[in-house]
Amino acid sequence: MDARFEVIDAFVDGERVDAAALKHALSEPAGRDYLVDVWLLREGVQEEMSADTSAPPAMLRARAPRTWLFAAALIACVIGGYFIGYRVSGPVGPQAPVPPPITTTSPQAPAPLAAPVPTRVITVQFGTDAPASGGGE
Amino acid sequence: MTDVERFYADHRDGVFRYLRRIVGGPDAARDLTQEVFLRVSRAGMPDATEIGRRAWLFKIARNLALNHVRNGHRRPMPVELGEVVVPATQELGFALRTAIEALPALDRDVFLLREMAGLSYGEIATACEVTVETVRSRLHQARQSLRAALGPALDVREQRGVRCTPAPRDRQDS
Repeated sequence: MDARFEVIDAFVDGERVDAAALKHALSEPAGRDYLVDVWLLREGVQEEMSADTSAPPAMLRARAPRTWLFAAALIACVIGGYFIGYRVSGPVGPQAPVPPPITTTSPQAPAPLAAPVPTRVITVQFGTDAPASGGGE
Repeated sequence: MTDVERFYADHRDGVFRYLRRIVGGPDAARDLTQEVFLRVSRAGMPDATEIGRRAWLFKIARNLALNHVRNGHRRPMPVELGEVVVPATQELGFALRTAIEALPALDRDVFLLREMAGLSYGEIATACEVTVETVRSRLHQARQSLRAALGPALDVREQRGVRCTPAPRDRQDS
């Protein structure tokens, strides 16, 4: 890159330059062409800037609103979720102790009662009639 | 009006214009402009001259813009569909926008900080964390590249004449 004309840039940009170096650079036709082009470039930039209608923010806000909106939405979700959960499943806390199943055990359970001893034994024989005098006794 | 508010009023346009070209969309540039000045208000104004403060401000802006671009949020500047039928007076502006996009990152930064924000070479050097010599060389390189890219458009413009146009800050200071 040809650095001979850097002095022209510096001059156009308002920097202090060596007068002899500037004269020398401008003594060349290429240097003069460069000077004109630098001005044309600047003019183009200025026009491009003025054609751009977008404007900077008018006021300095405390914080970008989107951040606040996001934080507010997050807090609302957390609080809302808590209350919905509270209503659906009741208060959150230590579970009430479940009573143990009731079992009654007696240390000395009475022995099952024995069947009474029969006082009369009736023997039934298949194929014989019932006695005539009996029946209702 | 506090120091920060005055600083904001003085420099928001320059910061916005610079960020607008680096990050692409105006919405992102507005958000980043806000972020730059929020950082300024949090950090407090440095104990420096106006020039030092301006360089510090644009250093913050540049770092935020670089992070934004690095995170892949950059959108190219919109180019209107009617570009081919734009009036000749606006032709250079459209071509210039495309050519600036194509510059290497540091060359683009240096050029935009000079032409859109009006920073001096010393301020640009501080903002970009390079030497003044590097600024001088990169700026020259950027202009040579733009000149080469815009050749025909510059020739057309030259026929209309040329005018001595100061950079934004130079004009404001004068």
